[in-house]
Amino acid sequence: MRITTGLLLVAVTLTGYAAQPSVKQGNTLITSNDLEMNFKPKQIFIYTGRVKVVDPEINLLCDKMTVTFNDRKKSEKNGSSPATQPLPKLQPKPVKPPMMAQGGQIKVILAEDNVVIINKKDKTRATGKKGIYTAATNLLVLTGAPVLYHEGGEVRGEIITWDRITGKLKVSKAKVNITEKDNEKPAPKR
Amino acid sequence: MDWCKNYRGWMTRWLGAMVLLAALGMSAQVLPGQGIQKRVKLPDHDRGGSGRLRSLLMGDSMVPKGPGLMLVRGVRLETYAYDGEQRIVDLIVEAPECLFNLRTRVVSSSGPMKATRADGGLRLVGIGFEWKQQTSKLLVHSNVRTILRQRLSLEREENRK
Repeated sequence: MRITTGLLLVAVTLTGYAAQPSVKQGNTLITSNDLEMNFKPKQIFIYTGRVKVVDPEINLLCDKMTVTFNDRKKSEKNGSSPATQPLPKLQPKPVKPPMMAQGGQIKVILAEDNVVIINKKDKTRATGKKGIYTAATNLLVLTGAPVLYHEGGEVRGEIITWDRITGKLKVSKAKVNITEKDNEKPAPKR
Repeated sequence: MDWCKNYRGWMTRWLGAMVLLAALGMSAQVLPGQGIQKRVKLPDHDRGGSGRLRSLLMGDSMVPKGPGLMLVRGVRLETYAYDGEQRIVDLIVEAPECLFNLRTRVVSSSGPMKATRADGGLRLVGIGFEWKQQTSKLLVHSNVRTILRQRLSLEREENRK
């Protein structure tokens, strides 16, 4: 009886820890084999092994991904956190209860090796050796023999830059390969 | 006679099994005064000068597991950041059990773990972890599943709206 109860308790405990956190809309899910979280001097998280990032609009796959977060103090100075607005100087400083830290926002994402970026909306896919996303500029730069695959063919180049605000795509030293569709009929002869 | 021999043999095996079970039961019990500590708190202070509390390892119980090694059950590890003089809870790591090396100040486990940013900005689960107090580094060894409370796609635009 004790053994049964013990096993049941262990099973319940393990189920609680093994339970996968649910992904709400607006969140980003990252799965990987390993994770290294560095908190000092900067917040840098390094995901390695079968890294997959699932976002409502894009999926990112690579072998290694390094996420650098903004310095918390800088974020606070920029006013990104309403909880950290300075109080007027004349007010007496209230005794604050233990508060919770405000997690930093993503500053830079560096994806390395076998990088694949899939745009879920238009079904385009980009591959390369290295991808860097900078939050400040909203630019995604793909290097290392990058290729952009789209419905009508593929574009190869030296550097592929995607401005995520304007949606503009810039390919340096581009080589465009247009795929002919089998069902396309030749132009009628006159 | 054969029946009698079989009966004796069966009884001997049964008694042997009972003695073995009893011995195992005794060794699994940790009696008071044998090193078990309950509701433990193991603080880690910055020895570089500030003396501030950097992290706090808490457990429901703790028993010695070897030279300089403690087994902590019902683990909760909190790391702290500071806003001026104010201490802020940063990361919370929870696990059923872990080992704490008193010499290296490394907290480790090969079992399931979960971690959350105190502000809810990040949640993760994984199997096996290592927390290095000296360098404030957390390693999660396998099956890592992280949820960030922010989108990678066009978050800035949405914020502007």
